[in-house]
Amino acid sequence: MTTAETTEHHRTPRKLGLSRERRAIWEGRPSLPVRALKIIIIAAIVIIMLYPFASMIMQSFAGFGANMRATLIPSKFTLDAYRSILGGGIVTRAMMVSAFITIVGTAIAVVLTTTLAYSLTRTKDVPGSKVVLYLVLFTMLFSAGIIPNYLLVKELGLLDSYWSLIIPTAISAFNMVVIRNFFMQIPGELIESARVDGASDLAIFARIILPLSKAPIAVITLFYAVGYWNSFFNALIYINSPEKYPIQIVLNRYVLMGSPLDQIQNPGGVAPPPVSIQMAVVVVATIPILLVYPFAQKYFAKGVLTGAIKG
Amino acid sequence: MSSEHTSRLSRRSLLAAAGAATATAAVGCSSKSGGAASKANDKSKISWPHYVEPPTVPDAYVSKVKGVSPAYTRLPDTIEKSTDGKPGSDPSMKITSLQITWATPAAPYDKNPFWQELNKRLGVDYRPTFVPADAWKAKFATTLAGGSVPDILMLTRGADSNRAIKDGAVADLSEVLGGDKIKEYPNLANIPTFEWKDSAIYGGLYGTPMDSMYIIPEFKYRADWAKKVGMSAPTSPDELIALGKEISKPGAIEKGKTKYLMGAWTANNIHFIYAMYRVPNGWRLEDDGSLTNTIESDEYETAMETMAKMWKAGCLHPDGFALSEQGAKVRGMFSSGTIGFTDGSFSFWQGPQGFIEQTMKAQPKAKLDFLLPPGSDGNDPGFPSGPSWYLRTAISAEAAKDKDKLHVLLGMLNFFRAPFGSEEFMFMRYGAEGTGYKVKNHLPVMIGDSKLVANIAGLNYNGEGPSLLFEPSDPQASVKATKEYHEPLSKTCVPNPVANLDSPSSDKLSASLEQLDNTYFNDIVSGKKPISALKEYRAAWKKAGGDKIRREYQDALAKN
Amino acid sequence: MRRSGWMYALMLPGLVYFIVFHYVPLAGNAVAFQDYSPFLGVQGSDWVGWSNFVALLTDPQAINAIKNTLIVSLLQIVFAFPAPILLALLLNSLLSTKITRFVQSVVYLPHFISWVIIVSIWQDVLGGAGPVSELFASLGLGHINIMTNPDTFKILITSQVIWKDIGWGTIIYFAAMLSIPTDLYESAACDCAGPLRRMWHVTLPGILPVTLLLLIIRLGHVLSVGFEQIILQQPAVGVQVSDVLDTFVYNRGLVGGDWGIATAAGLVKGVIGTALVLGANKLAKRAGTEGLF
Repeated sequence: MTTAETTEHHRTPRKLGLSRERRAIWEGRPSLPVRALKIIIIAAIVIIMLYPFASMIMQSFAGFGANMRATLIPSKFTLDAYRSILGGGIVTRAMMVSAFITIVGTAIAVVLTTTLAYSLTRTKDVPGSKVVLYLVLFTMLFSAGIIPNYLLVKELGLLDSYWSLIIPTAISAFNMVVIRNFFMQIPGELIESARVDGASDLAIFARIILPLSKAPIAVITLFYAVGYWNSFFNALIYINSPEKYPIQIVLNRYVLMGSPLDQIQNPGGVAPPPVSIQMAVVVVATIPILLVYPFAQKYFAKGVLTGAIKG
Repeated sequence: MSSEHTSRLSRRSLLAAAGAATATAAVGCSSKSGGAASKANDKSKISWPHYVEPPTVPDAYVSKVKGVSPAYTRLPDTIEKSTDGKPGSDPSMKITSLQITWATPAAPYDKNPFWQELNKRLGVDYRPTFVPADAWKAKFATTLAGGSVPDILMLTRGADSNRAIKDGAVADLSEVLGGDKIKEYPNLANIPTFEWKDSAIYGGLYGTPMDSMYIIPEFKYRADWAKKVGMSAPTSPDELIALGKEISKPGAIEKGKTKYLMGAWTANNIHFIYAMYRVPNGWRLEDDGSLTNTIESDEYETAMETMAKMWKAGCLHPDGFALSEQGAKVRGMFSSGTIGFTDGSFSFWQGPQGFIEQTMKAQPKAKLDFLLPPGSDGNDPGFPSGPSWYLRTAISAEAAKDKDKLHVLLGMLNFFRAPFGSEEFMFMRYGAEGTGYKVKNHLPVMIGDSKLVANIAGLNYNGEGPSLLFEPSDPQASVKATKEYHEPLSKTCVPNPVANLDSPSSDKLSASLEQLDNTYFNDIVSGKKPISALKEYRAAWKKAGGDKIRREYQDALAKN
Repeated sequence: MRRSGWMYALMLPGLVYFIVFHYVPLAGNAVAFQDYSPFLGVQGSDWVGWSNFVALLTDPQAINAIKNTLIVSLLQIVFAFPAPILLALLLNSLLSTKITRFVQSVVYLPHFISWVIIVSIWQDVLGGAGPVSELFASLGLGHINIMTNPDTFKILITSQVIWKDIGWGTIIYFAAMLSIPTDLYESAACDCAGPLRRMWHVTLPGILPVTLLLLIIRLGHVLSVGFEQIILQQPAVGVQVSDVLDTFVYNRGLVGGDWGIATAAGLVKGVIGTALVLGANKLAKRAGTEGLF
């Protein structure tokens, strides 16, 4: 048994699912007014969050001349907006571009971030690592601006390539700091006893730190995935070929600039109102990334455990 | 529909255009500025290119009013080439460009038959880079910083373009196009001389100017609404306010609903109000040579009072301030029948998928008429006219060093500026005859598929096409619009005396002056502050540097 | 040194990344001291010493922008920063997994929508012709247009930030809460501590390190309060109340072509941010936590 497994035996796993269905003895049932209050607040929050979304989705189904009523259901329901944006291939192509950038980018980012973060967790023992930490933190406060970054990308030959959207943003100092913080909360005894058994830093990293950090890693994976999926400004500056546009650029051009995508792909047909098209593009562009969260949530629910024995 | 470059100007376009248009950014300058200003405005030594009238086309109406583009109703009897041979003779010569666009992107070269055909006709390997308008400023700067200027570079109006010219990024074309030399490129000779003069800067011609009509937005309103409330087209400012008031009474137009006349305080709507009082356009040149700024004039005060009155009377949609920069949304309100007044260019309104059709589909009972700004006190309206040129298309200084390449590039610009009804003109808009379009009753009928349409739209905004009005689906519409709208308004329009002059302080300050204007406009028109707050505004404007700009423009005018 | 071999190996790729993609371009900050022209580049542009900074700090619009920025930042730290914590605590105390998961999924949705859409939607709902305004009118209070009221603008944008990011912000806190061992709760319960006391004595201390960490980082960005969100709504309320440092820099720098001032503003932001981070970090260490570094 590894050190991590022995320790696991001594602790009650905090699994959201388990402890709830079999309510722990120490959790009494809260009083009725308190429950009612909680429910009211939660309901209010849910409505405030969902209403605009619902409005957006309903609007994407609105036909021409339809009025959006308070009930949100448009007076003329139609799928025209979706037909017109998905028919021509521009939107689908952009989605694939974004998918590629997101998957590859996130993978690279998570690997680089976790390795760097771990290497900086023992600034007292590893000479020079404190300096490196400061160097990294410094970059959160100062940036260079559009032109110097552009020139760098150009010099590296990355202009107009998908890699220009992946590599320059490969590590977010913020994410690195967050996960470093989690790493540092893993109890020192676990690490010490592994070292006594002769494990190298790499082994400790791979066999102890990573398995115990599933939740924070899931968190930063999610952060990176959303970041890459939503990348917009870099694409605007670095990408010249339209077939390489990620979805946010396409979204921006059709939503903000109102370019007549529908007329290109469906001339002579009744054009759905521009607003419907815009909303449809938004819905289509946002859904894929929304689907990522439930997968990440699994990691939260599996109950990770890092016992931080403090006080 | 097609590109809509009018409303892309920011809300305070009057003030901004007055200054930022041709100014130079100069930080920390003092005595330098005097020299820079006059250098920029010195147009005396330029040999102006000669003008050749474009070929006549039957049944066309070529207005004599300055700033009004020709209106065509049909194609010429035969579609002829306007150029001999091709601009280039080496299909492997790569030509790069940086161009702004509002259209959707074209398909990549390998999948784009139109592009391939275009390159065949040009005789070069033309690889333009089109930049969406919202990324333009950043891309322009990064491209220049990147060290290699594209062969063809669009120069939009603004400090960044002027700086690029001043630093020598692009070539002075007056040597190769001056006087009769322009006849080597006959289509470029169709550019009127006043446009060359207006767009000249730093003593040279740094690019070919792109035509711009003096008045681009066409205002239309719901005449059926006016009829419903028992009124007709307003002939005075008071009638306009009254119309707005009647329309916004709940239930007046449609039971259970409230409609409004205007949507928002967009730049064009504000100019409409200005037009009623002949408010000075940026500046007014007095008899003694001094300049009065718009905001210092009495007409401006009256216009502001009117706008405050209109706001109070409910002539505008309640989101009138919030939506001032959201032209697309405001137009959506017009087509959905929430507001009864809006504007757009001729091509925006016309055509099978133009805005008139869109509106009529959604509002079958609508009757859309032109609405010219009614003059006050029986005077003619004075709409602030825009400049005669929209942007310059320049050639990189580096590329111009190679005389042969320069010749090819100018040949390409010549190609793009082909006159109405010529083979090149038709190709750039409709594709090749027989595959993209065919001629029926002297009108073009599109037969290409939607992909072709997209590819053309994505590639044809190259700053050269002559400005004109033509609508194949409704041939007389162009003449109607010209006679009923553009001519009367352009005859009485109010020009900006410094539109083509340069003031170094102006751009440095125009951003903050615009912010200042923004604040006071909102406060006064919304009623938060009384009209007497104008005094405060004028003082603040002076303090912020308005007088300095005035002096520089006055000097520039004196020298010209 | 031998012992740390792997540590250096793990450090190397990340370090190279930061040097290449962050430190090399930093040299571009020289523009702050120049009358910069993109065509001439850094080599060709004139040096003007501190005049960009002087211009920045004496310009009344710039001062106004800085003032607005600090006020908005304060509002965000006081209201928007704790909001995800409160929500996370609330959801954590729910007894039904299903509800918790459902609410979690709902509450992070606004984060994915771009500001363009959010502003548009808020306008539809809260604008002069929207349902909220109609509601007020029917109650006899007259049409109220929340979106164009300059006096409440700063509160409006703080509310928008809360709406957009409150759910997203709970993610980090949830991850922190999950790493609190249950036996701590058990022993607290054995000492007769009710839910509130358990929260106070167990949950809050458990998320304190992460909270302080995020707070320090937030302070480092005190002069960045958002750009797109604000520039979209500037026309509605006028520039005086809405201009923040980033929108000022955009209007002057990118649109106006004054790269010198834009870069100078960036340096000023960085210097102030650094000072705050150093100070906050010291305080955090005194409070007994790890701090940022």
